[in-house]
Formats: sequence, C-alpha cells, structure tokens
Amino acid sequence: MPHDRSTVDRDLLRAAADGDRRAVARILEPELDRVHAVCHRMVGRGDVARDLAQDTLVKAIRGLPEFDGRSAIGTWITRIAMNTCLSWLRSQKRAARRDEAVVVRESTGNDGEHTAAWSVQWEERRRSVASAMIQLSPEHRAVLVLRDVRGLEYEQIAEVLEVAPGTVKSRLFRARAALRDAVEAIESESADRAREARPA
Amino acid sequence: MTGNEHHSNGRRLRKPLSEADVLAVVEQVADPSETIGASNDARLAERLRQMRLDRDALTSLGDDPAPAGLFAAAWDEAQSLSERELLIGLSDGSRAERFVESKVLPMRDRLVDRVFDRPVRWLVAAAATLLLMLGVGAFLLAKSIGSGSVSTVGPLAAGPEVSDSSLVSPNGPAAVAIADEPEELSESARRPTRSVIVADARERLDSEAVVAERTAVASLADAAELLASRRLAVRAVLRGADGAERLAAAMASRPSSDLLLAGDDVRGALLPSPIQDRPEIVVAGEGGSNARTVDRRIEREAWVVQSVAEPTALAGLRAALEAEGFEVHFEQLAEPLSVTLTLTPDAMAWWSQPPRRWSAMAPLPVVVEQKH
Repeated sequence: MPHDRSTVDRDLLRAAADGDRRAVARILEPELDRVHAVCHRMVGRGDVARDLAQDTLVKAIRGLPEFDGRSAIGTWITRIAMNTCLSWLRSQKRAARRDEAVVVRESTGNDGEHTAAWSVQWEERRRSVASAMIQLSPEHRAVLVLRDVRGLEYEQIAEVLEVAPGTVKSRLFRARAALRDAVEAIESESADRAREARPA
Repeated sequence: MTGNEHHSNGRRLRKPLSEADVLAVVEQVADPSETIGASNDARLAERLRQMRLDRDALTSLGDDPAPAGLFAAAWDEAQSLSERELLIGLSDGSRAERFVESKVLPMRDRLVDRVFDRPVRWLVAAAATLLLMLGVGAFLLAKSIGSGSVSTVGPLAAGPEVSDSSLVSPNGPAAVAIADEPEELSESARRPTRSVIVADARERLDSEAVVAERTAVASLADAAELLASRRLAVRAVLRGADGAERLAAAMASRPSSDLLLAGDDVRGALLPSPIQDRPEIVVAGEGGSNARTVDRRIEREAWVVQSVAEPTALAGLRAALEAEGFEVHFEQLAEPLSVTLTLTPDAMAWWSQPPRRWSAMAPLPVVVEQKH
C-alpha cells in the first residue's frame, strides 16, 4: 500500500519556497510515481497522464510557497492531481468515451512482466477493470483511484475531495458496485464475441 | 453467534449488510465468511468475491512508474511561467498593483501638475508668452506701416535737384518723397500712404537713365527675364491727364498675388517726376520739309512697383494699364536698376504665402508719359 508522508521538514519547505530546486526536488520526487499513477488511472491514457502529471507538478512547484504543512504533502499534491484530472475529464468527456478502445489497450501496456506471473484470466480481469474504469463517472473513478491506486484513508480522501468522510464511504460503496456492473457488462460482451467467433 | 446475527421470536435472523460491511469485505478488512455467514447467499458471496478481485486488479494497475524527466520538465515549465509573470509584473500582488497604479494616472492631471508645480516651467511659459506677444506686435507694427491703398503711391524725386527735405511726405508718417510735384498729381499723392519707406533717395533710379537708352522688348518671356535682372521698364503712354490716378486705378483694379500692383501688394513708388517738359517734333509731311515743331507738352513720371518676374504678372500689369487707357510698352534698360526694395510685412512673412508667391520680386519702373 502506498505510503503518505505526513510531514515535511520546515527548513526544506522554506528553501523550496525560496526557489531552491534541490529542495523542491527532495519534496516532490517521492510523489512522482503516485502522481503519475493517479493521473493514469483517472484518464486511462499514458500520453495524457504524463501531461497531467506534469501540470500537477508545475502547480505544486508554484504552490509550495503557500503550502502551510497542515496536511500531508502527499494528500496535498494528490488533491492537486485529482483536481487537474477532474478538470481535464470534464473538458474531455466526449472525447474520453470515443477513445475508450485506445484506453483499454494502453492501460495494459505494461502487461508483459505480469503475464508470466498471472493467469490469462487475471489479465483479462485487469483489462476489463481498466476499461470499466473509463466508463465510470469521474466522481466514482476518483474515489476508487484515491482508495485503491493512491491508497489513501477515508479521511484523506475526504480532504482531497473536500467532502465528509461519510460521503466518501457511501460514494466508494456505489463506485465499487458500479465498477462490478461495468466489468460484468464488459465480460459478458467479450464472451458473446468469443461465442460468435467460435466456429459452429 | 456472529455480530451479524440476532434473535427474533426464537429464530436466528441475519442482519442486512451495511455499506461498511461490504467495503470491509471487498478491502479484505473483514472475513467474508463471518460477514456473510452461513446464510447460503451464494449470489451475494460471489458478488463480493468479484468486487474483491476487481479491487485487486485496480490496485495492480497503479504500479506504472512516472516517466523519466517528468520533474525536470515540470521545473522548467514552472520557471518559464514565473519569468513570464515577472516580466508583466504579475508575480505578486503588490508589484502588480504598483505597476497598474503607475499606468492609469490621468495624463491631464500630470501635465497640469508639471506646469503649475515647478517655477522653472512657469518661467519658460512666461518667456514663450512674451516672445509670442513680441512677434505679434512686430507683425502688427510692420502691417500698420505698410497699410494703405494703392492710390497713395506717389512719384518720388531723384536727381541732383532733389533736396533731402523732399523725402518727407506731406501725406503722412510714411516717407514717400515727392519733389517737383505737378499740381495735377498732388491730390493723389497726398492720400495717406501705405506703401513704403524708401531707404535712401540716392539709391533711387535716375530718371534720365530710365527714360533714355531704352529698347523695345519682343515678348513677355523676354520681359520677365529682364525683370529678374532688373533691366526692364514699362512705358505707359496716356493721351490726357490724370496719369497718376489712372495708374493707381490700374493697380487697384488688379489685386494680383504675383503682379503686386494693387492693394497691399504695392510696395512702393519712386523716381523723379516730372522728368521734363519738352516740345515734341511732329513730322507733318513726307521728306521732312514740312516738319515743324508743335508745342505739345509731354509729362513723364516714373514709378516703381515690385513684381514677380514672371510673364503672367507682366501680362496682368499690361492688361490693367490698358484698361485705364494706357498704351503699354515693355522696354529694356541699358543698365540694371539699382534700388532698395522695401521690407514689408508680406515680405517678412513670405513663408505664410502660397508656394506660387515664393518667386523672387524685382523692382519695375513704370514711366508714365502724358501727352497733352
């Protein structure tokens, strides 16, 4: 489970606020993978994920002087990433649906190393889940990413999404149910295609 | 008994699963067998199992690392943005506020402040005003000296018999000198003058030189060239009296901008008058046997006006004189005319005239011959 650094050294923050690149790097570089993962799971496309991750980091670098340290740096930067992704998703809502096929293919782009260890069924599951994620609403997708990809606690998710913790739980419950329904639909459709392709 | 069981009327009933229970099972916080129990709800159990696998699959998808150079690219972009904002003064609120404040001050207020807050600028403004007033005053003075009508131009005396006192005109402050003025010209010559102050009578034209040794000029173009070299004279022959009045009328009738014969364009008049009265020899018959001397008086007066040395100006002069009954002849002088031109307001403000009036002016003697 990804960890979340709760505190950042005050001197380091001060140096970062003064524009010290090494200080900024020491604060943000441990978050890079997680930021990128969040963006990738939220948008499902590697190229877009990189751009959004970079946007997130730019905002973080420019926002460091205002970071007061009251929240964890990981939560803070995840909120920036999530807001960045949600903004992009809202602006690209139609395009995201149109590119669904591409998303499925890209989302499993690093399958090679897993294929040997996991069964074919498991790989199909991953593909189905990746495709189903794209079909979810941005709110459901966000809470699933924050919980399962980012590994945040309910309170942290509530802080990122700026909602009550109870809302997080109910939204997560509905998101998991929606994901299950979407995966079942995808698997059913895939099975139908396989039957049609099978010679009589 | 598990936490999800309770008894009602002696029967063991299963409490419905809450959202928290489902989440706990899916996230493997709770044991599914305990949560679901032995309710034999296979469908529910399978759904929860699948949701659990979905979560595992989703979690495994989040392992992709960030691409190389991500931080460096982000750092460069952030620096670029900051530099751009610094250039336009928006990097922080206070600087931007000062910048905008300096840009929106009304220019009118600032100019007023500059003029009225600094004594030096007061002095400059006062000096400029004084210079302006002096200039206007000089112009008005020169204008008043040159004001008048063309009819005031009178013949000026020259030659050895002219005394210095003759330079003082009885007609007014302008020193139009009159010498040996004939009676019939006195009225016109005494009108208030507007024309000139002749600088030096000795510089004026010798009337004999003007009258004598003249040759006819063939064309207006040649006349204009001669005028430019001050070697042109006009002989205006009139059978009758009132030569001066008619000359003045001719000037007044043609306020040509380039002829400068009438109105404000008349610069001056000089030359002695009359030249002389002499008998005219009239050839009465062929062979000269019947030649006889007739006692006819010929009065000559010489005047000078300034004119543009162009054929059109001379044509205008001729037309104006002919309209008054003169017979006009352009004649070449043996020697260039030596006369001082008058400095008039128009001459001072030559640049204010249309470009066509920027041509050189030349003095042109007009010798009026009256035959009685």
